[in-house]
Amino acid sequence: MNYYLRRLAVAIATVLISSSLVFFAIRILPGDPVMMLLGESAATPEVIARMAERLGMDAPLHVQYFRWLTDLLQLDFGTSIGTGLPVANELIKRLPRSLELMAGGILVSLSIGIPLGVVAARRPDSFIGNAASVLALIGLSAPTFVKGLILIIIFSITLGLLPSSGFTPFTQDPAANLRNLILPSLTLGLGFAGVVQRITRASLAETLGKDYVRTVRAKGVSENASVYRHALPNAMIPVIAVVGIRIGSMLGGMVVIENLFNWPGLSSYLIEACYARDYPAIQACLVVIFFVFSLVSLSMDVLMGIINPRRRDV
Amino acid sequence: MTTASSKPSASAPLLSVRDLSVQFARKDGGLAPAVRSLSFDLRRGEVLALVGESGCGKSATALALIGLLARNARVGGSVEFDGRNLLSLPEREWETIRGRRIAMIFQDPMTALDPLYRIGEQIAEALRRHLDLSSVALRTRVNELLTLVGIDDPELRVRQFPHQLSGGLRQRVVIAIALACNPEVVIADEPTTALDVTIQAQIVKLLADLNRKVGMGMIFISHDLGVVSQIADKIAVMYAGQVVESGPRAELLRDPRHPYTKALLASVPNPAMAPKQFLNAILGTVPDMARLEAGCTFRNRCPQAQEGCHAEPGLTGISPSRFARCWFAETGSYEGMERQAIRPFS
Repeated sequence: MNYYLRRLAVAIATVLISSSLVFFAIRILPGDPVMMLLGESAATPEVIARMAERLGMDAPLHVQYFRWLTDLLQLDFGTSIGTGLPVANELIKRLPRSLELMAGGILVSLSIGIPLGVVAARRPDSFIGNAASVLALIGLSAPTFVKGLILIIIFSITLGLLPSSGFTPFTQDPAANLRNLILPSLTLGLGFAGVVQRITRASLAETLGKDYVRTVRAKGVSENASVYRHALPNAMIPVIAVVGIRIGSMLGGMVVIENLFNWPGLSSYLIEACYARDYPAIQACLVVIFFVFSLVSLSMDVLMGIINPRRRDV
Repeated sequence: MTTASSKPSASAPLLSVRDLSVQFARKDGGLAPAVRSLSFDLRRGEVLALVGESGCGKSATALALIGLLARNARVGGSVEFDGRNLLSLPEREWETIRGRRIAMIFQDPMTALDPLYRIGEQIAEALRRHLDLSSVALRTRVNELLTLVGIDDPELRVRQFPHQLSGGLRQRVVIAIALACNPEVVIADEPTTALDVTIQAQIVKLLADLNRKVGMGMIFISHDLGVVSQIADKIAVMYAGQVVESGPRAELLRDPRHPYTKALLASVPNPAMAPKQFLNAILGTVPDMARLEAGCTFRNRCPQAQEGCHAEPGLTGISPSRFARCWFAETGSYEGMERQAIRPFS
């Protein structure tokens, strides 16, 4: 238990430190929210000063920082410079959408990547094994928007089975929500399925040669049972580690997909905020992303501890 | 230590190996031989030791006898067990024999157990696979097995994971797994090699005791004649995939006939050695099995090799139970050699 408490403390510290770095980094970048808001032409020095004061940007940097930090610790994410509305409202609306898309993508990548990896590892020189690897490589190397467009062309334009884009809240119409979810999830998941396939294949191929698998076979256990009960669980340990890292970084990297499928999630909000130099919104988005990242890696650690008894004694 | 005379010796052999050969298919399409025309009989309650350097085909033999050779292996000859030739058995039938009637003890206890499962579960898996036991009977049997292999506090150990046990304890667990279903044949592939010397002695003693108590036939594979001399009833010395000398332990150790056996014996440390006296090393290396030349395979390392050794020697009978694959096995000189028909020893 001690181990998990330590990991939790590390996670919180990570979120705080990385958010603080972002706070300073965006202020070093060129571009000023005051100017963005006023527009180049109409700005007289007094107007600029008044606007800066209203946004709280006239104070020295360290004062701004501590103001931001105290607000953050009270879960106050500030007010958007662009809209004048609380950033939290937008986050509460958009985060679940992104998480839903992420869950869909992970589901797709695991349910495609793991079986293809198992096939490739168990029959390394066969046609089906090589086909599995080639398929995974295509999924991995094709650019996201190409995959997205191909899927739209096949499933919505040609076959007319699924909507090409759009978002319906789950609470409003669950069926429509899920139908809308399928194509973006596939687009997101296919690339990652390639990664999962490669790690599964490499890890399982190694595990299949382990002495303990031979011990199991020597007990009279069939080859299939020895793979699924012993080799595969052991082979999943590195897969979980990589999946954990990738899931965490997925949240901020879904811009293309969110735009392509008109899915108003967190990534697109972050990009809009960046264009508008909407500092509070950028910071809030990144804090949330860091937080989800830490939460995911923390839960991966817990999961790892459940699967791998050696980890619990660390 | 057990002696051959104290063993019950049933007439029909339990396991009868004839002309066993194992070859591995290489990527380039060629075949690399690992075991060449190996023959022996194993009787109930008997311990047969296969001795030789690494690469001489000991482990390939072991895996062939339990049907777990890699996919690229080609096996020839026959292994008669309970009226059936094991080598022609379909996989499905193998699964009813493996762990049930023929079991195996592996070399490295640090890697032979699945790190994700508790000790009790790993032993129970063998029992569940072959025997129809209630969960209570299963638990009782697991505890019984742990006690049998000399593990104290079985109640605690069954709940532990492999990484919580020492190497010696783990090897006892591996032995318990092998003995779970009372197999008739146990193949122990270098069961002490990966252990500390003090633990080695304990494990050898345990195996000898179990052999006497349970009465299973055992094939004990080792590179160490010193270890083998403590447990074996019969010894077969292997070199380059063949048996080069075989016979009852005491006779073979007292009066080795093959120069390779002599050299192996000379490389075992003994208390009578003078201080700073070095052990005899066997010069040269094991020949490349993929490029074996005709003639005696040991001749390039043999101190008494002569012209005649370019011809391949057969197994020469020294006594009804002793054979050596050397032109000089019987008389010590080339001219006087008399060849006998190649027969397996029994």
